Amino acid sequence: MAEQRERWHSRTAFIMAAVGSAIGLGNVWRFPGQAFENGGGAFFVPYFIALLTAGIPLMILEYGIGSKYQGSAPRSFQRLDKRFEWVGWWAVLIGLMISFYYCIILAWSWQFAYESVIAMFDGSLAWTGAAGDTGGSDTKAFFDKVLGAPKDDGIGAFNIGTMVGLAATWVCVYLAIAKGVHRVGKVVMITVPLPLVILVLLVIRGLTLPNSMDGLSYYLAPDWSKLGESSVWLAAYGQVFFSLSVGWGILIAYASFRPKDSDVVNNAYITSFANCGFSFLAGFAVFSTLGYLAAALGKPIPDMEGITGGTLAFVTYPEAIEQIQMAVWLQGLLAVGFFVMLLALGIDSAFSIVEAVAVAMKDKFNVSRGVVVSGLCVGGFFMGLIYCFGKGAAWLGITDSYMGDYGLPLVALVQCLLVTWVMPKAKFKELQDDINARSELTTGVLWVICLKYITPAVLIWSLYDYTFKLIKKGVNFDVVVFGIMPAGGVLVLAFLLQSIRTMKDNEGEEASDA
Amino acid sequence: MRSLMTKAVCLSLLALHAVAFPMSLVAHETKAPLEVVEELAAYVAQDGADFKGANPLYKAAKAAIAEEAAAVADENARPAAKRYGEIRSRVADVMRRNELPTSAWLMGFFGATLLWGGMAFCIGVARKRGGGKGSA
Repeated sequence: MAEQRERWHSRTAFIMAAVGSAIGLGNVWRFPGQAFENGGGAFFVPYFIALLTAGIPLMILEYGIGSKYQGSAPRSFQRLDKRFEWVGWWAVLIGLMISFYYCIILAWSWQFAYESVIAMFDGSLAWTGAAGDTGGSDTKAFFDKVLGAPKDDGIGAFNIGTMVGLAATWVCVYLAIAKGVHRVGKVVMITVPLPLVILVLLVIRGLTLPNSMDGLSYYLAPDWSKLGESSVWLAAYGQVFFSLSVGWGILIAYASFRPKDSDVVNNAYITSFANCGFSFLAGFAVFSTLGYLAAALGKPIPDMEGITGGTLAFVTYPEAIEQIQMAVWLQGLLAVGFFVMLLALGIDSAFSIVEAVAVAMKDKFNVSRGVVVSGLCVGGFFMGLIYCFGKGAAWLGITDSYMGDYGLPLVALVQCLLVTWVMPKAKFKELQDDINARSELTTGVLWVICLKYITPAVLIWSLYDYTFKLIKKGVNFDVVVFGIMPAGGVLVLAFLLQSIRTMKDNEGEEASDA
Repeated sequence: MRSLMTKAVCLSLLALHAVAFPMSLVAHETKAPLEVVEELAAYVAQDGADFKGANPLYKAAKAAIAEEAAAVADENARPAAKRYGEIRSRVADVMRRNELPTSAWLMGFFGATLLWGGMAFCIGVARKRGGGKGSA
């Protein structure tokens, strides 16, 4: 007899979990920088078009597959078509590889948050004077110290502080998902609203700083000439793909915990709008503060370094906090707020990735959730130790290029092509009819056009462009070990896992036939 | 009740954006062109650079800049390309600060309304709390 599937305790819990998974570190440190570099306010036009023509259609597809076939990504793809199981494994395994280094970024946030708490009592921020007499940036020097960045070609020192942060992160992941989606549903009721509240406070603080409006002007003033540049459109589609958690198998797994007759389309819209709204608001916090920092340093924002990515979070923003004229304990409090926000944003994305893998293993091998989650968390911790060395940040960048920037769009492309071109038309129509029958908003011919033509075309274009970038970067030992081998390895492993037949597979096929 | 609260949060966020825009207009310091010219001239004079630009305000600044620039003896202290790049960036910054950010705020409103308004609309559409059509 088929096992009773776990369920979210409410629709809100499901949406909050999906929103928590989608909203991550990139919403704060990637989106505002992307907008600034690609035409300011004008960037919103291609961004919204990308959201409506690629992000939301893909999300509807993943929600639809998950809730119709009631399984993790590999199980759902197997039920969709026996030949497609590897696509699900490929997605979740790429996610697993990403979780190894994603948790390292959270470990750095733990370290910065801890140092900021200490600053509240010590009367001096940890990064104040870190550069010494070198004349460089204090925060950059401090961040290098946290990383244990090597001064020569070696791999650098092993950083105990990062390891402790890593352990804390994996413990949090374990506690969030070990007891099932019911617990996840409760955890996200804290981890989703908390960063929003902190962000609103940071926006208010940012807007009340002198020269904040100059910064916002850079963020929002439209440069319409940029709309003619293909790179801007590519950036918009890229931002939407990376931001919405499509292609990871997470949304399929989360949707599988909803009843078969639950809404799909409206949930996809709500999740997407919440995610993008958060990004948009984050831009206000970032650029208002950058406006202040630019004036304090006496140089225009375009001349500033580190206004996007990890440098923004760990170098530029702490530097801005240091420049704000107020008591040190208040500076410390502001820094604590910022890093706690990063932690809350990152932790629900991290556990959603691990959850997708755990559910896939559970569906395939019929092992208990506790065993799978424990194994993944302990394994993830040990794999993450590699990145605790001084050169870890560089290795992390390489893995991210191959897994996050290249692997995920490739999975999304394969997913689209299989469902819309390879799978029989009647089956795709059946899936669409099923989605429409239980949704508050319905999909039509536009959804099909987006999935069949627009999304694949943009993804192919984006991957073609990115391939040249990767080739240009060149190949060395590190690239082979941290980029090419894991990328190839997960694909081989995906096919191997498909070839293994288990009792649960037979149950899955029976359910599919029924 | 919960749905109402969510909608209230969306609308509050929309209101936050709405407050930010007028605030910016009040806080914005509009510089008179003369001040801009003086600022540019002073900056360029430090570097002794020549200056080229098509914008009317750039052109207005040109005369003053040329005068100041002529007074500086050490014109070739730094590479011209780098000097020009710095000046262009500085001019763009001054120009941007001199403009009223109406277009920026229009884009801001557009973004905020579409995203937070869209979310509030979708939540309004969700007919049954705790599940979709017919679900528990």
